[in-house]
Amino acid sequence: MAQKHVLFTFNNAPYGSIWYTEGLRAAVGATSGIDEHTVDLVYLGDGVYFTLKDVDRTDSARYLGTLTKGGYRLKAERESLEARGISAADLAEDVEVISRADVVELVKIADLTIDF
Amino acid sequence: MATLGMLLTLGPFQFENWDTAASIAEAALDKGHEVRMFLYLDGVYNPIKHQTFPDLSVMPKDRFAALVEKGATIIACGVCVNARGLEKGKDYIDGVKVGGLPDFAEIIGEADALITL
Amino acid sequence: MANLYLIGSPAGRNGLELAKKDGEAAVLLIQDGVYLDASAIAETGKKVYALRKDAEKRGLTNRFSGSVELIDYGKLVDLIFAHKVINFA
Repeated sequence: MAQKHVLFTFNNAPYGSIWYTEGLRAAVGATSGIDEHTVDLVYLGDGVYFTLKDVDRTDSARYLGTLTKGGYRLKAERESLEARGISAADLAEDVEVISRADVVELVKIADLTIDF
Repeated sequence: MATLGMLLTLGPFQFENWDTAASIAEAALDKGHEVRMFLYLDGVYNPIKHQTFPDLSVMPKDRFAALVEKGATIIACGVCVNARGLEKGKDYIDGVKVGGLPDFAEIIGEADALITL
Repeated sequence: MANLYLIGSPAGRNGLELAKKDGEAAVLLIQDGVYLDASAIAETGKKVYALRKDAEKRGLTNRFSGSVELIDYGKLVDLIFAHKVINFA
């Protein structure tokens, strides 16, 4: 038993599959256990479509609420946004844009990684 | 000896992830490692008791039963189990537990390596 | 501990992009990940592995040059514990 830092990546766009919200549920689960693991939440590839400001977040609001209360932010990869013609103005307020090099740094500090 | 944590999120009969997961778990157990697997989302369909499919010579449930026999811990997400109308105890092969995300958090704490499929 | 990018689906492309930028990366292609082109990574001297069984059943073994090492499940397990696994399966 030990506290771990876990990198969660979200690689699929909502809503054709359930990964966007079940991944958040799993992240809440990881932070809520006895070990109180910490997480990073990173959106890559088509996953960045979840970070658009007008996306309906009804079914993930509960998980996002818990995570933001814990001080976590959603991090979207700049290169993935640019490749899809998404600008910073299109993003929700709780989204932070980071570079691919920053994502690699998050990979390096993580103990374990999980992809959704 | 090390502990391999596994997260399996896809079910049998449609994607090959279950086969990959079972094969990796077998190889890890054969090398004397511990395996602790959490079944999430459709992953909970893998070790259910009643499976028949003529195209497969070995049913997924039997591969998972063999893992349990070799000492693997397999825990299914209870919310996912209930969502699919499955029942703890009744629908699962012996040795597979129905638990919850706290169990997954525990696996994260214990795992030397984690793979997600 | 170097990072082992476990690439097992088309979304694994996201992982390959990270591996390109990660100086300590190795790549392991499994499942449909064996369809992805990791040659640019192998050319930079980073180690690229592919699960032999998954490449074989897709008829792809000839497409892997000497720069990609085909491995079995036993070796995969050894690699998993010798690296930090970066999951994209």
